[in-house]
Amino acid sequence: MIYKEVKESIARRKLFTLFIMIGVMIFLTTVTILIQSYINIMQKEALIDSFEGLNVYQISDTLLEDDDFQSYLNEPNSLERVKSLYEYLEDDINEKFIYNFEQPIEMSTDIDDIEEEFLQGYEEGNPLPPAEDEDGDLYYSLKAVQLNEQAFEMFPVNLSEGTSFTAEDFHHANNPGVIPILLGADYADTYQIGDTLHVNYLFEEFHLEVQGFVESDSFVTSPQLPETYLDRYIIMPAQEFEDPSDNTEEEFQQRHYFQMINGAIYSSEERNVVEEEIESAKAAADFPHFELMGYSTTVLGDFFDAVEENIYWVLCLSIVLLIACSLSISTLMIKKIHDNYRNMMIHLISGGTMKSLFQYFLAEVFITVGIPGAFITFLFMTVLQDLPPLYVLVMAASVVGMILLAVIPIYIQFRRLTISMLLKREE
Amino acid sequence: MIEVKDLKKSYPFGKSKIEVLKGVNLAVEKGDMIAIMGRSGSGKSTLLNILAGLDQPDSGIYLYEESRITDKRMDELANFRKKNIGFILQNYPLIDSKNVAENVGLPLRYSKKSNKQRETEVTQVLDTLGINYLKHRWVDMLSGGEAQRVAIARALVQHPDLILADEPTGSLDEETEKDILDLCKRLNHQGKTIILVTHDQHVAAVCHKVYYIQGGTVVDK
Ligand SMILES: Nc1ncnc2c1ncn2[C@@H]1O[C@H](COP(=O)(O)OP(=O)(O)O)[C@@H](O)[C@H]1O
Ligand SMILES: [Mg+2]
Repeated sequence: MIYKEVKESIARRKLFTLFIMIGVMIFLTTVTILIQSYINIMQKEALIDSFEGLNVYQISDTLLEDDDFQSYLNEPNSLERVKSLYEYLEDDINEKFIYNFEQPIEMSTDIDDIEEEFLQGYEEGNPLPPAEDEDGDLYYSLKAVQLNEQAFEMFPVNLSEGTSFTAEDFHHANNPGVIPILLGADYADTYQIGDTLHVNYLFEEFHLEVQGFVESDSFVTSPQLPETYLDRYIIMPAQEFEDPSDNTEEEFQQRHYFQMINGAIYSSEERNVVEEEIESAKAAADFPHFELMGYSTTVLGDFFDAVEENIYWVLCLSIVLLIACSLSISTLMIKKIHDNYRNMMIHLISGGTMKSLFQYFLAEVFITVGIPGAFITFLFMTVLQDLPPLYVLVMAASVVGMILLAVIPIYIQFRRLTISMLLKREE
Repeated sequence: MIEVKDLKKSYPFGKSKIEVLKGVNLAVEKGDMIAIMGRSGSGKSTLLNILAGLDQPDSGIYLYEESRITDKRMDELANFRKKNIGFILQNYPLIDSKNVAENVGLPLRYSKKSNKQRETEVTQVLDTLGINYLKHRWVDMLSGGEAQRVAIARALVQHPDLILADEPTGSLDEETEKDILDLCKRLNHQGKTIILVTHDQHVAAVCHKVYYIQGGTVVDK
């Protein structure tokens, strides 16, 4: 009976009801976006916390001109001094020294249809084509990121499988030519733990041994890039090397260490304090060509400010839609009440009560909000698979909230209605 | 069958009230056919609504077959209406989103009759009124006379003992008015008690008794 009455009532103003239903769907879409954003932020909470109140100081060598660089290399103990600077930064400085460097790795492979998503330049839309060496072997440029030990500890890089890096993995000593690596989640179909990748890094051959996979959606940040998602990356521990045995190796280590000292200091201290620390490092290593560069609050903080700003606008839109939809529903229903005095009277003389009449309006509100609600919830549950079970609950609460908001004015209107009013209008 | 004692009813009018019924006394015997007349606004519909159990008076007593209607709650009143009253509203309104059968069957829905029972009872009452051919029509396709009969069928479908009609011949031509009156008489002969509100002397003339509402009370002329 209720169903039949509601069906007839909706049919009276189909278009308006459809319009409201679309409004409800847009509202619930904004709620979904909010839920997703909050989940996103919550997942990164640990990271935000570890960056809270820290400033980032980029540090860099000053040997930018090739002449300066060459003349430094000709100085005695040039490599040892860079190395000891790095060691000082890594072990002795009182601040967080973070080396987080993106540098593609050249890999030769028999697999000739390597997934394009792993190639350097893929995200920018032009994955690098493979290069051929003298022997005719193909080399692919794979995206890779190097993290020093402190960076690895600071970023929440969790493994889905395998074993994490140990302190030894950052020192290239026991197993020359072999570097343990972790792979991004997307690599799981391509490689397995124990596989070896034959690569060329800074013109030196290495064997990368896969020892684990990181969870999908893991990411690291740097002053340049707020978020680098690791799913399609090779994750390499920044390597410290023993003394070189020959010239080629020495040149390699020069390139490598000059790259590694260009990291960043994360500190809550004033600039002058950090500057003093850098001065001590320079003195200890006898490496004067080094300076503290720009300073910024963490980019990550800015990034989240931006996210929060967006959330704020979505939240506003959401509230506006909630009110607009509820108001439209109550307006429509109250209009229907006024238009239907005669029909309501007929129901009353046929054995209906004011209560049963109110139930019809209530049921109509339920359907007007509930059907698009169920539809949108189902749709997003199918499309976005990683929604938590709580999602259904929040959606249900939103639907109930909207129904309540819409029903209150209708109820007040109904309370004022008396049977003699219905009769009076009828005459 | 009906006993009304000192019935009072007022409506809010701005901050004050207007008293429409100021102590109505009325007795109706089973099988009676009575007319209630009075000026427009004198309270005829108000009284009829109270007799129908649609509205409650402010004070006074309304006994229907010895049971006190004035003490009943809303849902009890609805039951009372379903069981005993057939109400023919002024101007014979129908619900235009339903067809004839659904309009006539509406009271049976509230009595929770099954689809099959409803079907037979609707057919039966339409047959009695000779309008079975209208059964599946939409009500906006009906002529004035047809709509009236459908509204009457709806009032009769539950076989009520008491039929209340608010100006049943209000805006009808003479011929249809006569048809409706004949129908009322026929129903009365079948044992139904009929109370109708009217302006029309012709209508009053066929009734056993005529009451007037004047100054908020019922007088017998
Ligand atoms: N809901 C109401 N609110 C206020 N006044 C009402 C209401 N219903 C009826 N009245 C007033 O009560 C009086 C009697 O109304 P009614 O019983 O409909 O008269 P009748 O049917 O005899 O024309 C009228 O003056 C009318 O305006
Ligand atoms: Mg009237």
